[in-house]
Amino acid sequence: MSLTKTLTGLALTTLLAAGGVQAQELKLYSDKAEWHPGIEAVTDAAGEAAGVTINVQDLTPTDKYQAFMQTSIASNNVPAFFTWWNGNQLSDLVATGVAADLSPYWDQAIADGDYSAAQRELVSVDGKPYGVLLNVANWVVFYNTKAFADAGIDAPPTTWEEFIAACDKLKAAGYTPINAPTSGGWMPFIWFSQLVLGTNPDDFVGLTDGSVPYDGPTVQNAFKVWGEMYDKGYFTDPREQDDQKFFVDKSAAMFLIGDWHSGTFAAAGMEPGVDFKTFLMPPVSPDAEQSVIVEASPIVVSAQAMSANADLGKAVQSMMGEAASTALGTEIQVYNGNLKAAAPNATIEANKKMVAEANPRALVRWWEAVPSQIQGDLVAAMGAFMFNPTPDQAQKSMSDMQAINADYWANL
Amino acid sequence: MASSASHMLSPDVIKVARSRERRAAWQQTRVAWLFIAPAVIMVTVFLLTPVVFNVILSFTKWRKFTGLDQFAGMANYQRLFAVPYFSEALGNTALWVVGAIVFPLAFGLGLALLLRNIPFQETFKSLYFLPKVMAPTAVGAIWYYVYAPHGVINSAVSGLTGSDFDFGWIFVPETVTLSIIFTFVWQTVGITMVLLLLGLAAMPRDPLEAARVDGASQWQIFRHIIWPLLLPTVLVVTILNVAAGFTTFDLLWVMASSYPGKRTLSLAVYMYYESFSNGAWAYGSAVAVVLGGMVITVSAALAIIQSRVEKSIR
Amino acid sequence: MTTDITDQSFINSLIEKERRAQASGGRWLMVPIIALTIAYLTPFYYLFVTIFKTTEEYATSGVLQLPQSLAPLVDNVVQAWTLANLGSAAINSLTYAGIGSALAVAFAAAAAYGMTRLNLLGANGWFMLIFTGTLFPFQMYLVPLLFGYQRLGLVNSWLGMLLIYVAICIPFPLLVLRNSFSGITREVDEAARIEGASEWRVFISMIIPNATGPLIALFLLQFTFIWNDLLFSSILANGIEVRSIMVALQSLQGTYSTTGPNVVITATLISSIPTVLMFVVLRKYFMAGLQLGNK
Repeated sequence: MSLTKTLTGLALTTLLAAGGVQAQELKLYSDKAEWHPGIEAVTDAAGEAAGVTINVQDLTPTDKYQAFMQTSIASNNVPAFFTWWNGNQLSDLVATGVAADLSPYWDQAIADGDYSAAQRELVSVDGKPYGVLLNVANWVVFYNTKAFADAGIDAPPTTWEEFIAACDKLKAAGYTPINAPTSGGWMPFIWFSQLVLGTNPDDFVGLTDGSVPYDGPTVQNAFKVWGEMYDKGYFTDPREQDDQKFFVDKSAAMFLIGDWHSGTFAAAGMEPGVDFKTFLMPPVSPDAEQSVIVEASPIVVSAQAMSANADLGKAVQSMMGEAASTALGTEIQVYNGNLKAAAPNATIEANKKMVAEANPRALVRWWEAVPSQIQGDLVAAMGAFMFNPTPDQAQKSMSDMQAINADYWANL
Repeated sequence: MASSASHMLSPDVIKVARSRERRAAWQQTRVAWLFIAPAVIMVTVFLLTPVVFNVILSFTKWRKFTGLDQFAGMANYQRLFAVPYFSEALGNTALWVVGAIVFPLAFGLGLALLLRNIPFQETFKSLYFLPKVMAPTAVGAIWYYVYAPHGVINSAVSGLTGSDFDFGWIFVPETVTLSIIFTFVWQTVGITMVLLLLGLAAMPRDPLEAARVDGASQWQIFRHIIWPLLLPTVLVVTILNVAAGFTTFDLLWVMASSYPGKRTLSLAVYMYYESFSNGAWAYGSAVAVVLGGMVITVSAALAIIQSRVEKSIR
Repeated sequence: MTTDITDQSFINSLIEKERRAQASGGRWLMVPIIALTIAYLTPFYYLFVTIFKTTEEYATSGVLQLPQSLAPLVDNVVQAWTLANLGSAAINSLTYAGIGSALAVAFAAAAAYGMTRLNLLGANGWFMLIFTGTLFPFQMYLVPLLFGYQRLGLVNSWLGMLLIYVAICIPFPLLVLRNSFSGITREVDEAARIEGASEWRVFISMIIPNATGPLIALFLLQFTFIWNDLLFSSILANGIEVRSIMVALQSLQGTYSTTGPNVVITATLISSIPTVLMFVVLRKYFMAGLQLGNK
């Protein structure tokens, strides 16, 4: 019997030793594999500032990354740094106590003029900031300038009627009007949420707090419009997994997405501000106010890592500095909102101006606003409609979504 | 025997002998422990403990952002039928099990009978067996493009008919499960055939010869002689395929990677999706328990049938 | 009454009969067989034309058309190799599969020895305990394993992957080896024991050499299982340094993938080489392995 014990002991010691070796390393986990070079540039500098090494570990796709991070949180074994989302996603995370309060660093950054108090709110829960900004993006419609010229569209649409007219013209000119991918386990929400918030922005907000059902009149209308758009052949083949393929091969003319995507179009050979420009998506219903979705992705610091090594504060400061923002801009053309840094490309610069001038109602993305437990199920129902855009499927998707939604809020 | 011995020996002697015997047995047992220890420890720690925890977990509320300490009673099991997906997944699993029993066996038997008496039999056998050596992940990746929008099947049909054929296969709910089952059959028909050929080869020739001499038809020979003798092999194949039908995961996960309803394609996928994409660990564990219960029940039933059949033959 | 199948005249009569069957029915049977086989092998044909195409050629030419040249293969291999880090993934999987299945078969052999050759009290109970490990679907291990691994720091570690593979590969070999060890006559080891050989010596030099056939077949089966595994490695080891070849392959094919089908298909070929090669070279043992479970 003693031998069994010795063996068990030995095995356990080996296990623990292996675990110990791993913990020595600081890691940044991210689901944004395509941003790897930019994130690495930021963490290299931050690591140097704090006297540690930070390795970037990518984990895709997004839904799997979230589940993996959930297991890390549940077993109290979170990496020192990890990318996250704002909105409900962040408040759920903060409630577990794994995220470090970054107030002192934000105070400093605001005093230094790197960030504004409004930007601090993007990553705050109950007034305290819990993240470093990695990306601040406006959701706009990218359009291929040549396609618009070919179709005889002089100016980007400003009303829904003009938008539909533009789609028809593009269709007539041989383009698929809209690139609408389903990739990554999240993209189906893009047009769903756009059509809902274009119908009624208040209901859009209400969807995510349980006060508006997923089969009510606003959603019914969104699905009706969505189905009509599919009927008219406005959207690309949902089966394609390369999300930007049809936009960069120029067969599709428009792409509604966050302007962080502009860098990848540029990487594919389209010049920002020349080959493609952007406009704000007009609301579906004339009564609805013009709104824009603002997406903010934070890097969260583990509270445990922070208390174990006070020097990590220097890493945080480095990440919030102008140099980090510039590095992100040059490496991956992503803008983290730093006020001293220049926008990485003409499109992002133009969007900043456009949003400042139009002053639309800023909304948190559906993805961040919806309770994280039902996010995936709801997106799947939207995706099912994109693959099969019939009225029957629309009804089924809506009733499925409402069943999941009701079940969640009832059993809270 | 023991009683007759005790007449001759005093109780003390017996006691000593017995204890010596016991000590010797004990000694051997201790040595034996050393031999079985690694296997027992590994299996207990990494397989059996997780199963126990899985069952416990299925009675908790554990999911994203909530603690493990909350007991949920039967809530996870009640939820199975409250949401629309479990029953869909269950239905597809049933389809999988039936498909995995019927198709590989039917095609495998057909192939075995076809290939039994032809030249280059070994070459044909190896060709049909080859997909089984490849990983389901690799097979799934290839077949993804076989079914893709401008993939092998659509192109072939377009080429043959001169039309622009573009069917959804693994992207539409009507055909997705059957399409993936077809790929599964493609991969497993070879091993099924080889096992059946081994069964056929081991078959005694006498009854066959006798039947031929008696002028029995091919069908009669198959029905009354080959089939009963092949039944044990058929059962082995069935047991293997039933387990695969219940638990196939890789093929589905890879081939349906862009199908939005993929989680309902089978219970194995549903369990994985709920646990590892959706973070509903306790609920996922409950699905795993249901799946485990079904696999064990069906396998046990088949094992009982198998032992009856073998007894009746021997 | 049984026929003596070694009897030459019986064999000759059989051969004659087969030849006649082939001459009459066999020839026309070959037509559907060959047609069926061609249809069956179409995915392989697709594989072999695709690995010689560039992404552009793939998009513009028909998928079943022959490639324009053989040259793109090199670039496809390089792309698959670098995009998915196939090299390090292949090394990981080779070590998981090689070391994992060797250890599992060794542990199973030792346990089978302890259960069949030694006077182990409750041998059947111990056997049932391990055999239980074959009853449950893998889905019942996953969630607790992931959390247990998180606690122990084994997630995303080479050791963690090896441990689960060893454990999962023990029960089936034990089942087989228990049977084959029982079949070896007891006289060999009894004699050695009387001469004072330790149990370890008896095991190594008497039992193991008498069971090489099943041992090799079991090693091959478990090696193939570990090499081909996606389920465990996709959950327990996603990290690029420790991930298995199947996870790497899936990352190419997966979502947002901008990788052309030509590269993905090339990667499927690369990831199949070891097991296919083993099958071709050690076919005899593979086929023997198939029958192991049935006895």
